[in-house]
Amino acid sequence: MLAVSAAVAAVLAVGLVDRAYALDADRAAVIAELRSLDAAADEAAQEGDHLRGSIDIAEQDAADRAAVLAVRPAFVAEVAALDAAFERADGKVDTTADRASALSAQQAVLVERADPAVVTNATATIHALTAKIDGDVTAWQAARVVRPGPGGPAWASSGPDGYARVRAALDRVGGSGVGLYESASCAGGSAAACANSNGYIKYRADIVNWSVDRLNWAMAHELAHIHQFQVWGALTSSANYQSLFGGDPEFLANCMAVVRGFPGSVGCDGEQQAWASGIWVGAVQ
Amino acid sequence: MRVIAVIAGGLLLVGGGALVAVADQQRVAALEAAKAAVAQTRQELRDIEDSNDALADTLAALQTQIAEQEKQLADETGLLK
Repeated sequence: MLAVSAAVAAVLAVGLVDRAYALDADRAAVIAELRSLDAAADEAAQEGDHLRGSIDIAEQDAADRAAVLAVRPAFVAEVAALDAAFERADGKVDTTADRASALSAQQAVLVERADPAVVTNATATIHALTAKIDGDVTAWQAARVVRPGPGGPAWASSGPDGYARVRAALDRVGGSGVGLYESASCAGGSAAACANSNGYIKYRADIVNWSVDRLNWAMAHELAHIHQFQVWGALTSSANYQSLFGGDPEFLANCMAVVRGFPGSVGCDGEQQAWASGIWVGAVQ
Repeated sequence: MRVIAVIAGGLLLVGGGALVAVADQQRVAALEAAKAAVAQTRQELRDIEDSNDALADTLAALQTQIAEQEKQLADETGLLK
């Protein structure tokens, strides 16, 4: 009896030990699998962090490029206007330096990927170059036409310094080839300044004390009249001139001054400016 | 004396058996806990991988957008030659 019990106990014990070893082995295998999964999850989490970082950078890059692209059309439009100015200047004035400046501004635009201000600044540069070239062409044209002045000295009571101040303003607005004379009689009255259809401008002596901005506007306004005289027939026959400016050469001259970059107290809207810009280059649209 | 030995032996047997049963239960519980942890970690890994797939798609779309923008920025149509 005792031997049987001992034998049963021994078999039981062996079975229990086997089961314990099997359970331990299973648990070890599951723990190993858990460690492997943890490592894979860590790696995947790091991959996710890397992707999020890359997305943040890409979003910023895309936004920067979109901002630059948004202002490119205005630059391209100014370049087209400049190209037209080069054509008008061909055979008249040397635009080598202007073209070099334009190409430099254009290169800055082509390489820019982040700051739209680089493009808008370059656009303003191109615009200024166009105005300068057109001014140079105007001066060339004026210099080629021999027009009589009113006769007599260029200044009287305003003196050489006063004359120089007004002359500088006229040159600044693109009228470097246009005659300038002091006169107390202007347009049959005592206007501050007036333009003569023979292609010169008269000014009243006291305007030599005007501020630079006011002088610039006044000379741009009178120079605009000089340009109006050059296309007078087509201008006064133009339906657009009547509908946009009421046939008023003073309103048109003020708008032309705005377009040239020297506004006074009278402005004009975009459509009027676009039309008025043509008169500067002899185009009655 | 013999009776005492038998009784003592019996008690030891019963006690030992109880200990073995408890130890066995603990091993089984530990194994079940480890298996549960594996299942949870597998699910977490699947979730992270799904999220990474979506992030990768987002990044690919942005890279495509940037490539198109680059093409437009490099376009010299209308510029001075």
